[in-house]
This record gives sequence, C-alpha cells and structure tokens, in this order.
Amino acid sequence: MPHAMRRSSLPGMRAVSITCVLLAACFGKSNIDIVTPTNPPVEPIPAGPEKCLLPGAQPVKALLRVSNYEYQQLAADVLGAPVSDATFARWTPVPQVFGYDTMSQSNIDSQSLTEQLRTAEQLTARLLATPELLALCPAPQAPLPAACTQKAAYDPLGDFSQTQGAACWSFLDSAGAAMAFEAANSRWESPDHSTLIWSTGMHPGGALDAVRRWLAPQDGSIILSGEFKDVDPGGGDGVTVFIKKNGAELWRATLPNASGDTFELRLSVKRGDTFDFVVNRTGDPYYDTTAFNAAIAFTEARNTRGWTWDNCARPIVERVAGRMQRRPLRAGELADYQALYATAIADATTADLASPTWAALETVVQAALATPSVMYKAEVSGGLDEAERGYEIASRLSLFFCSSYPDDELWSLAAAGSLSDPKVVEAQANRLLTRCLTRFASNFAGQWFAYRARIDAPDSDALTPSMRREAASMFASLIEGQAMPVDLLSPGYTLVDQPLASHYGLPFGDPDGSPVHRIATTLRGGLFTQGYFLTSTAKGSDFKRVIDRGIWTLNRVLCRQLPPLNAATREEIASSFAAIDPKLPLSEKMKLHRSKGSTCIQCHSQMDPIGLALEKYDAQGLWRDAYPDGSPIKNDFQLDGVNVSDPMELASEVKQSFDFRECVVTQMLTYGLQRVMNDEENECVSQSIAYPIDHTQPTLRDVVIQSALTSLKLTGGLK
Amino acid sequence: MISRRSVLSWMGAQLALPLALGAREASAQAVAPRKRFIGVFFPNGAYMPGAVNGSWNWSEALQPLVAAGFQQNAMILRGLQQTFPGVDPHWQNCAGFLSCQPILLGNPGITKCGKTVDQYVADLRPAPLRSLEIGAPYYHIHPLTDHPGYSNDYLNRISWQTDDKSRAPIPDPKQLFEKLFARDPGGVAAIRYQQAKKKSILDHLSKDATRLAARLPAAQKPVLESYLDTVRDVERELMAMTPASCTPMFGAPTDDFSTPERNYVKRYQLMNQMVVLAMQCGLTNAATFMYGPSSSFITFSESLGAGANHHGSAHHKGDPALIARVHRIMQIETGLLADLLQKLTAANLLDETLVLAGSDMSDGDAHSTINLPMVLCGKGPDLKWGQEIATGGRPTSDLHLEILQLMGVPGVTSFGGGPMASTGQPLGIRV
Repeated sequence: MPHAMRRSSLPGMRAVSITCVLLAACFGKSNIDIVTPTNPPVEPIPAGPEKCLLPGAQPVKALLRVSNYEYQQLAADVLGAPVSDATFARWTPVPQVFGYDTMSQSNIDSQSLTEQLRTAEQLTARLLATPELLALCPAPQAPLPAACTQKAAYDPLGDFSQTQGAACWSFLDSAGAAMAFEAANSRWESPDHSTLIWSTGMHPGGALDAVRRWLAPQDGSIILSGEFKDVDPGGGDGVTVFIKKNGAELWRATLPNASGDTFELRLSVKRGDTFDFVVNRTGDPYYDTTAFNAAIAFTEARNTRGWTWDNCARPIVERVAGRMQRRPLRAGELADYQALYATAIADATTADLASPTWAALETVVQAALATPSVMYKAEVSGGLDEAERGYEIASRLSLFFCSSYPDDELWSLAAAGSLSDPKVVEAQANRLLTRCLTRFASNFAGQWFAYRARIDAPDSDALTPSMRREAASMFASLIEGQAMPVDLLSPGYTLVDQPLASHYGLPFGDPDGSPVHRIATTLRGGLFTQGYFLTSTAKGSDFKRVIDRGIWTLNRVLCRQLPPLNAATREEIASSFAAIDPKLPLSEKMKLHRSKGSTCIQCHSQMDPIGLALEKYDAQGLWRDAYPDGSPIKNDFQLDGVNVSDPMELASEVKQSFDFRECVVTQMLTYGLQRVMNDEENECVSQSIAYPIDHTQPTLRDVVIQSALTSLKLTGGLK
Repeated sequence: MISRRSVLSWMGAQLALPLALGAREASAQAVAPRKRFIGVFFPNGAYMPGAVNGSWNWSEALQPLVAAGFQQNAMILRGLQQTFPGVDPHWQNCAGFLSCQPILLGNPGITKCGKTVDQYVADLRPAPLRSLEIGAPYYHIHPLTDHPGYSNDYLNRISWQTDDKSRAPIPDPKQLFEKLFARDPGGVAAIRYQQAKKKSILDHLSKDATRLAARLPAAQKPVLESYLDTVRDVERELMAMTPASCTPMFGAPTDDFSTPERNYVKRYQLMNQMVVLAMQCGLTNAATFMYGPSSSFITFSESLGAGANHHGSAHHKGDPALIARVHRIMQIETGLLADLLQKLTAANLLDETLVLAGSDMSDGDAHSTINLPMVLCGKGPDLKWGQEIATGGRPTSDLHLEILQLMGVPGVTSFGGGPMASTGQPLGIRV
C-alpha cells in the first residue's frame, strides 16, 4: 500500500455549520440557493506539523507505459487536431496504479500491438494530409505535362469522340492500325468494315479484334471497373474479351452468346501506360455485337517529384518521431528510419505502386507513431544520456501538465540546457499549468475523482458527460481563480451546462451564449456535491450507496486506506447482511454495524457517518429533505467524534482536517512521481507542501506547482 | 504410407513420456491426441447453495446441452475446487481459471498469474493465429474503492500466454471478422506490398525495442523482452495469414455491439461461428470464450427484460425471483455452449476438440470455491461422456493436467501452484 493508514483526529476548531433547518428554508420553493458569486472566506489554516527535510532522490525503477490517454494527447498534438475517443475504442485499458494509469508496467500483448499499429495507420493518413507537416518538404517539382487530356475520371461512352486520342482514347484494330471514323453510322471502322467501335459497344472482325485504348495521362492509382456483354442473341459462338496493360493481359472472359461479365481492378499507373479493351470473335465473328461500358477513376495522384530522404522524409521523421518519443532522435535511430525508408521505396517499386516515395513516407510515419520509444516512458526510467537530461525534465513536466510532449518553448529550453536552473523550470511549470489546464484537470483530477471519461466505453447516460464536465470545469476554475485547496469542498458556485442546470433545478438563462454557466450556490460544485461523484457512487442499493460514498471519500479525499477484507470478514459481511431485516430504515440498518460489536465497527465507524451525511443527495444527485417514503434523513453517527449531520457539516469538518490538506498533495505527488511514495516521503513530503515553512497559505495552484517540482526532485530529475 | 523414419521418431517420443502418463495412456482406449482446445468461462458461479450440486445438472442448468442432443458429448465434473485463501475468487478464479496459479496482488500495474491450458495447446500446435480470445467489453471497477491492489485485468482475462502476459479478448464480432477475414483491397501485388510494409514496420519496432533495452537498467529488460515476443507473434500472424487463408460464407456483422447488453446472445453466436470456421480453416487450434467478465454486471435485459444484473442475481440471498433469474442466465450461457458444440459438430471438429466450460465459483452468493461447476465436452471412445464424475474435492489443476495429456502436450507433469497444485492422480474421466 502506498500510504500507511493515517487516522489523525480532526482538530477541535470547527466552523459554524449550516443547519438542516436553514437549508430547508433556503430550499423551500425552488430548491436553489443563490448566494453572491464570491468564494467563501478561507478559514484559518491549522498549524502544521514540524517541518521535515526533503528525503534523498529515488529514481523511478520500472519501465512505464504511456497511458492510452497520454497517447491520445500525443497524437492530437502531433496532428494539431483532436483525435476522438472512438479511435481508441479497441485499445486495451492500461491499469490504474493507486488510481492513476500513468505508471503501469503491464505487458503489451499481440492484440494490443495489432490495435496500436492499426491506429498508427489511421493517424498516418491524417498526418500526411496536414499541410504543416508537408511544408517540411520542398514544393514538389511540376509534374511532367499530361500525356493527354487530364481528368479525374474517364468513361468510354461520355468520352466517345470523332478524334483519335481525344480524352486519352484511341480506336484501333489488333494489328495496331488506327481505325477511321465513319460519320454516317457514327462509328470507327477498320478497312474490313466489320471490326467496329461505337459509343456503347464494339464488334470484332473475321481476322482482327476491336481495340479501345486508354492512355494514362499521369502517374497515379486507378480503379478500373465495367462490363462487357455479348448483346446479340441471334447465334454464333460468343466473344472473348480481355484487358491488357502495356500489351500484357490483365483480365479475360469468354462470353457465350448473349452473356456478359464485369470487372473491377485496382491498379497503379504511370504516365503513358496503355490499357486496351479488346473484343475478339472467339471462333466466328457472327452475332458478336458487344456492349461495353467502363469507368476509370483516379483514386490518388500524389506528386512527390523531387522529394528525397534528406529533403523530405528525414525532417518529417525528426518532427513526428522526436515529438512522439519526447526527445530528439539519436543518430542510430535516424539511420534505422532511413533504412526503413529505403526498404519501403524498394518494396513499393517492386509492387509497382504509383508513388513509392509517398508509400515510403507512410511507412516511416506509421513506424514513428507505434515504436516502443513512444509507447514506453524511458525518459522517466533512466533511459537518457547525461547530455539528454534536459529532455527528461521537459518531458516529465509536459506529461504532468499536458499529458503530451514538450511544446516548442520547452523543447528549446531543453535543447539549450536551460532546464538545469530550477527557476526556469518553475516558470515553465507555471506557464504549462495555464496552457494545459484543461488537460491537467482531466488527467490528474479526472483520475483522482474518477470523472475522466473512459476511452474504451462511451457514456450510456445522457447526463454523464455534463456531470464529467462540471467536475473538470470546477477543478480548472478553482486553479484559475487562485482558490485554496479547501475551496474544492465548498466553492460557493458551480459550472454547469443547460441539461445539468435543468437536472439540478438551477436557473440557466443565456446571458452570453456560453455552453457552461457559473451559478452561485452553496449546494453544488464541491467534491461532495458534484453530480458525477454523487451519481457514480450510487449505482447499487441505498445501503451500498452509503458505504460506497464513505469508502470513496476516505480513500480519495482523506487518503485513509481501509484494510483489505480478509476471507473471515467477507463471511461475516455475508452472514450479517443476510440477517438484516430489509424493512428497517437505512439509518437503523447502519446502526447494526456498531451494535454488533464486531470487527465491522473498525471501518464502518468512518464510512457510515460520511455516507449518511451525504444522504441528502439521492442516487440521481438531487437534493432531498426526506426519503421517498417520507421518513427523515438522519445521521446519528459521528466522524472522529464530531457530528456531520449533512453534506455541509461534512465539508466543514473535512476542510479542517490535516488528512484532507495532505491528501491533496499526496494525490498530486503520486501522480507526479510515477512510483510509490516511500515511507520517508510519506512521512513528511505532503506536509511540507501543505504547510509551507513561511506559514503562508498555499493556493491550489501553488500546491500543483510545488507537487510537480517536488516530484522531479524526488525522482532525481531536478537537482 | 508411413515411413520407417517417422515411426521411429514417434516411438522415440513415446519413450520420452513420463512413466505415469505412458502407463495411463496404455490403459485408455487408443485415441489420437485432440488437436484443439476451447475454454469457456461463465462468471459469478451457478445456483449451488452451500456449494452442493444445486441446479448444476442435466435437467436444469445444463438442460440446453441435453435439448441440443449433447448429453453424450459432455461430462459433469463434481467436487473440483480452486481455493486460494485470502483472495477474492472473482479475481483469482477468473484469471486463474485455466492456470490454477495464484494472482499477484499489490501493484495493479503489474499483473501475474500463470500460463493457461489454451496457451500450452497453442505452443504445441502452432497455427497462423496463435489463439483466439473472445470476451465481453472490459469491465472496470475502481480499484481503490473496492479492491485495492487488485488489477482489473484479473476480472477480464482468462488466457495467459506467459505468467506475466495475459491475452486481451476481442469483444466485438465485427472486430473478430476483420481480424480473421478482412484483407487489404487491391490485387496480389498490392496485398504483397501491404504485407511487406507491415513486416518492415514490425522489424523496425524490434530494432527500437532492442536499442531501448540496451540503454535501460537490467531490471527493466524483461518488459522489452516480452514486447519483442509480442512483435514476433504479430509478425508470425502476418506472414501466415494469406488472402486465401479462409473465406467466410457470411458477411461482416452489422449489429450493434456497443454495450455488453446489446445483442448479447447474437454476439456469442456469431463469435462461435467465426471461431469454428477459423479452426476449420486451420487458422488456430486454441480459443477461449468469456461469457462476461468476472463479477459481470450484465443484466441480459434483451432476453430477460429489466431486472437484477448477473452479479446482483448471483447474490440472491434466497430471493426466489433472483434465483429464477440466475437459472435463466445460466441457461442462456449453456445455450451458447450448446450452439458452439453444434457448430463444431457441423464442421466435423468435435472429435478432435476438447471444450471445458466452468466458472470461478460454485455458490455465487457465498463466493464458494469448492465443488466448482465444470463440464467437459467432446467426443471419442476414451472418455466417460454423458456421466457425472465424482472427484472428491480434488484441485481443478488435476483436470487441467489431464486435459493437457489428452491434448498430447509433452513434458508437463504437474500443473497449478500453491495450495492448488495438481496431485497428479487421474480423475477417472477415462473409460
């Protein structure tokens, strides 16, 4: 367990709690409590424990995986555009360690790697459509002039004309001689007058085949589809039809009298390639009128003329791979990419692809998006040279705040060796917290309070995204507003969108058209009063709701670790539960935990008062004064000897506990250290940040910055 | 015609077998080792109050097998247990269902259990696809709220390639269809290019992992060695799968499988169809199915209407309505097993295949891990099909060991770990 169970008693000093009576009065009509939109006054901070010295650095010893969320942000940043959760729907979830998925060591299995490669392929297509990335390459040289009229698509019917070579079509016989146009019948004829081509069809001669030839105007890839059909049912032995590319047969069909066949071919073409559509008489040329129709569509026409490894692929690889793996490429790595590029060019040339250069770019970019240097955080785990240490600090700061690679400013400072100066690092931490506040609120606080959306499972309840947004917006807003850590508990306002405001019964209005409004209220917006917490902990019975809310609060808000249940305790729970009269009111059921005088009391003395204090909010997170059957909501239990009869009293008590103030820091350090806190650190580091030596009251923002910097120091990243 | 050389080599292999196994095989009817293995996991136990037999019998829970005519292709195993003290069986006996090894607790970012029966078969009988894993959408429990130190992977994985690498199941039939049957568009040259491209990229990943490993402390190397193994697996898969590998006579699934509830029955019927076809085509010889993660909260609402979820029903506390729901859930699941057996029979594969279906616990209400509900399915004159085999409280690992022997896996003389290690004594499943 990371944190020893700490059960410091709550200090005696207490703020005056809002009573149930007052609350009921406030709620009387509209269930809304409007107060002036200012933060409540901050209560005096209790004197902290004695200052301790920061323990010596202990590096991260494990090789950690990039979390799926981090990969999503890396990809979004390298693309310059969001990447949807759906892109990662098939990715294997990365386990959370002490609540955070930023320090998992679980192995990657073949299904997971297959999905990573599939995603990398999708991202590559998007990335190579980004003008900013292609701007790293010189403007492609002008393509050679088209060999004939260049169009996106061709069809023999629409393109039919009286001029040889018009729209890239020629009309020949199988001896290679050009036919002559016969205006009276609007058709092309050979001198034998039986080898014919007209707009919708062809006819073979007694000795010659009819040949419709299409000349590729430019390099590219095409889809060639269409149909030949012997349409004269009069008799004869049908026809033989085929398609040739530069004289070599691609496709053939023998069509009995009055039958047809279709074709669909995907091909690469080079400028000047010829495609012949040929009708042959089979045995005899009788009744051989053959309908012919086709479509030739270019699917891609990449112009990469003049692009080489040095002038194009290399800068692209350096940009993409460097950013994704959060440090510049080393010489050997670059050589590996160059070798991969050369192999891809060779393979694409062998396969006769339209643009081997483009294909090779796709290959190296896909590799750069999926390579293990991206997927593992070697920089956190001692995988860098001394000369690269600046990138470790840059990457860790960036991962802490932005869940992504260092931005240009930070990258430059790392390159210049400026990050050995703690002041520079602190300034950067401040800058990044402002720049990446939304991401930090999502990846850190979103895991702390579990409101971050699951990348592998969309929400089924329509209101859940609104509730997630409320929680994230509140955390970001409190940092932005220089609020104190205790303001997390009762900020005096909430930030809601229209559906959530309506759910809560709050007035929304639309003064500025923004999707999220700040609404002043003492009953919403705090850690215990946000919709996501209240509903996500209320998925089971009323009994379970009380327990879950209690456990959650102890674990995440107070960092009090309950002992794991052993087999004997489980059995006791099962037998006690079976004996409970289901008709008893909830508070009476809860009393059994203490009347029994058994081991139950050890944990339930803490869980139950918290859970019961929160019973004023139902499973939908809505306020209520009584249970649906009219019975009163009661909490006769004390938390650490203090009455906490309702959510406000609970918040007020928690605000003053050492446990809460330290827990805020402990959570940030756990997230930032990316390893388990050791005993020495556990003893004093959280305290040293929660209660600075100068007795100033740190804001939530201060705590975040100090936690980030301390994490770097404690793992040896920052001296 | 069998050459003299192959006969000699076969004889050599027989001589190398452990004495006990050789003796046992000699007493059994001569049946060639089975070629394929399928493990089927159903979560949350059965209706077996007090861990006695309860409804785990031919006329109740297993009635769908009887109705489909498979009683003579199945045997009920009584009295097997998998009890690891002090650990929640939802996690332990899901992850350890096919390995009987204890799970590692403490840091949920490091998972460890044991190599599973299906993976021994995959090693013995290599195929283009090492093995196929079929499951439900990943089930998350916040580990700090409920089970600190337990990884959610233990609730969601029954196949372990090595003791530290579980294999992620595919939850969506569309995804399985893509894996088995989808091919790159274009002609032969384009397909060949795509294959060459993927191989070059995999080679690059290997180079990078090797480079990375050289820079990192020794303690971190196993992670990259495991990664390199994974790259090799994917590469083998890539090189062995060709456009002509297997062509389905059905199209890609189009139903909605976005939640665990939607099209629950159809999800597994389609998966059964595809896995059986993959085996018929020789694409794989090992597969596992999870009819839900352990502690499954699936409600089966499409089949049973609104009501308690699976886990809630399993904790029925004697409520007749919940017990009835458990019955119906079990019959849905054994119905899926019957569907699998039907498809194996239709593909003429049943006599070469062993299917083991079972759960993580017996009495789901009490989390009991003794007298686990287990049913072994297959065909052939060597096993006591249609019967109930009393094992008298033996560890499940004894069954797994015997299955490995029936599959012809050489060199494995014991199975399972800790208190659940195999005894090595035959269970009495053979004629």
